[in-house]
Amino acid sequence: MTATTHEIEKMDTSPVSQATVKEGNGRTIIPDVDIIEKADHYILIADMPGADEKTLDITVEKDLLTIRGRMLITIPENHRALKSEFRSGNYQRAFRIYEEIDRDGIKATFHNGVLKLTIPKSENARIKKIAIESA
Amino acid sequence: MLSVLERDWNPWYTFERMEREMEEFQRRMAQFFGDLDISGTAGYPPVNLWQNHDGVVLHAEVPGLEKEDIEITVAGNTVTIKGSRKAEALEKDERFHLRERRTGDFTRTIELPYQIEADKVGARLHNGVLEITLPRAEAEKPRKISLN
Repeated sequence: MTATTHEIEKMDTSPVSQATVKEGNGRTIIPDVDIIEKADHYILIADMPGADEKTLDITVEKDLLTIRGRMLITIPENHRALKSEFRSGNYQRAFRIYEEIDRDGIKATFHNGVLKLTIPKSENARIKKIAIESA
Repeated sequence: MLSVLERDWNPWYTFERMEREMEEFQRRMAQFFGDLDISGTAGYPPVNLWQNHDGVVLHAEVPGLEKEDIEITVAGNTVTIKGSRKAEALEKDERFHLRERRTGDFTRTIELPYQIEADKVGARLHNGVLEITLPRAEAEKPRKISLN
């Protein structure tokens, strides 16, 4: 895990939303996940609001599928906190996958803070419909 | 493949269940003791509020929602966020192995300590985080009184 304790970034110099980024404290955030099994693939959907596409990291190592992302909350300049229900941190979650998955075929998209992985089943894990031949 | 037997036929195994439970426990404790910093999930969506003399900036986590799915209304000193997140539609023979993401309708009303200048409210959506700027009504802004 990256141990960046006090990283401060300047956002682009747009006059409206110039903001500083709160330091990450290395806190792990476990994203909420749905896993759906379809006929020839799985879909894994993870809520990762506030994560940036550039910080997303998806790895498959042996039988472990890990998703990671950096969540940085932005504090508007010259403002102080009135209420705080979510904080910066690192999204991270790991799943064990079994042999029936085509590791090389995994595809990922990220839209509106939602990561979506399409994980194809390997050829022999797919349900095959056997047609019954008429006698 | 012994671990398959342990887990029934489910090919997925989530490791952080313990961790998740710990976090939930800590959240509840913080809520119980009134810890301001992590005030727990009081409602959905979770919000952060930032304040200065000119008003409040509200951030809300709304992953998966499009602009069209969100309705913001301002009345007096309150702002209401309404929205709906659709469930993934399953076809025949498809099923969930894990289902944690919340779906359905939500409404959350947040009260501010002042009247909002409704005409100047702005909102934008970025990476699943909604930002609403809620300027303080001009008449309610603090004024400097100069001494003669």
